[in-house]
Amino acid sequence: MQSDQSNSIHWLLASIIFLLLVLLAGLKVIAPAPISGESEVATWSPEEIALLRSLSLQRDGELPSYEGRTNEYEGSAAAASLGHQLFFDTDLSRTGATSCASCHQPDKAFTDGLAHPATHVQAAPRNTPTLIGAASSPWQFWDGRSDSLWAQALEALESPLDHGLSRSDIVSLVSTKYRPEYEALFGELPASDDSAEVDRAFTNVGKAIGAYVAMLKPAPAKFDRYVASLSSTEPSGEPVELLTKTEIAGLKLFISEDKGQCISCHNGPLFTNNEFKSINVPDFSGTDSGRLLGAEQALRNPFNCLGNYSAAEKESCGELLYIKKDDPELYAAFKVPTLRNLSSTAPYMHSGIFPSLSDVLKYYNHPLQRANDHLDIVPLGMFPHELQQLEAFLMTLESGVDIAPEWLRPPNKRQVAMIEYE
Amino acid sequence: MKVVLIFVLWLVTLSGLIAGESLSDVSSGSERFYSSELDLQVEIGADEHFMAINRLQHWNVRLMRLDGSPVAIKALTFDGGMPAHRHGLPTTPQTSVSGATAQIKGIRFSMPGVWRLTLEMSTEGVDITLGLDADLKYGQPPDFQSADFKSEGLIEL
Repeated sequence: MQSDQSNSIHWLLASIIFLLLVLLAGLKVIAPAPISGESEVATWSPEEIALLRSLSLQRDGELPSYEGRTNEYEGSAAAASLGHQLFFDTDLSRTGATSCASCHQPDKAFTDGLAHPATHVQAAPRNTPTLIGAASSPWQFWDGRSDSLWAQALEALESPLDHGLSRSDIVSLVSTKYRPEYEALFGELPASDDSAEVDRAFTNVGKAIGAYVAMLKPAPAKFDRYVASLSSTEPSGEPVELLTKTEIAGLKLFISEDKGQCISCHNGPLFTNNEFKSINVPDFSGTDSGRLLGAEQALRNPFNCLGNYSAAEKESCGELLYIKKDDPELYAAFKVPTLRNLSSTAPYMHSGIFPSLSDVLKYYNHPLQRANDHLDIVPLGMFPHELQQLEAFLMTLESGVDIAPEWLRPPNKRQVAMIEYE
Repeated sequence: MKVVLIFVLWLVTLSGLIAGESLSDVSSGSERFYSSELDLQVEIGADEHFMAINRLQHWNVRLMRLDGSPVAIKALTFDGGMPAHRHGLPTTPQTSVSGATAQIKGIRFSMPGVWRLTLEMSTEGVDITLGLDADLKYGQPPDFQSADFKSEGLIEL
């Protein structure tokens, strides 16, 4: 009898415990879920938060621009408007079929989706880089042979591999199609073939294009909103956008000094230190000397920061005044690219040799190592799931461009007679 | 009224501290290194961006005895790099000297991590080398992990 009573008590206790467990489990099930399915609240040290803020677009509000040092028309709506028209104008090419937008396509984050442009038939052709945020780089082209957007545009306009026009051709086209806009900004177009005057007008065309391209800044991405939520001292009442567990794991790998080490070169709000690094990425010839030649060319470029066409005070041309050159470290070194908007900018690397981001990350795990080569990276030795986490984090940097949509479309075309070049 | 005034002053001070923190990489700064053996101290500093990551900066260097009396610098060379990453400086800094001071223009630290820096100073009768290991991290002041003085020649103590 006593045993029966004891059994009953045990059953009762067991039932109560079971019910409590069910209740607790139920509470967990019906508890408010995190905002996005598998989101996670990660804990960060004050030092890590300072680091994350340094990577975020909201850190100081405006992104720094190097374009305005040399281009006095940066920020001019009229110059940007003329630049916008020129950017999309296929008449600005010898074939009549190529505009800046042919290779820098707005829907591909201003790249072209190709390993390299089809017209680039030189020994070591290079991939088209994005223009979003390019004004914040002190160097343009993969080897940094130009130090402004306008000087970069001028080289492309003259290059037979791109637009293939002479300076006189360009001035002639502007005279025919854009005279009122040009003269309202820059004064009278050259009345003769005087080379100094033509060069000045040619420069102004580049500066108008530069003024437009400088407007192409990245919009805040999921990562930026996440960082803003970490450093916000006054809750806005808006739901905090959390990163997923996988994305946070990738972010932790990204900033880890001993694991990913990505932060070493991919730092700052555009995820680049604007340096030139050699990581032995294969190209199509194995002969591309990269920054070693690019530094020399930047110094010789008549349209550089120190040149006659620059608006800069000499003292502000620090990048050029203290340029690193003639150093073996620069051989086959290429510009560290931004990591924003990567989903639209495949294929990757200076030679466009990797079709996918996972290919890029696999390469960092096992980079090509040759005897006596200077190599700026070490094999990461990451597990496949860690590479996937890194890739997931990189996708949180997707945002497109922070500009009204009409600037991303060709402006209304004018009716003009076909331009014929000799 | 007095309470309100104190509160306003407190708020102004607090906002100043916050602004100071967020703008820390544009502030001036300096650091001194001492050698009792050589009876020398070296001050390095910059008016802007001192030891900030990814900011071009120009350093002022002062060489002094421990009592603060100046020691003339005849020539100065500067070099550096990141041994862990096997690369040198990302720029080519230029140096000039004037009496007990020198200027190093065009320094940039393009990465967080430990930078090994070397200042070689020629003075009357002795060449002095100051080797520094500086660990740079975002949002933190530079951590000078070591400062080694070396000398060649006779020094007048």
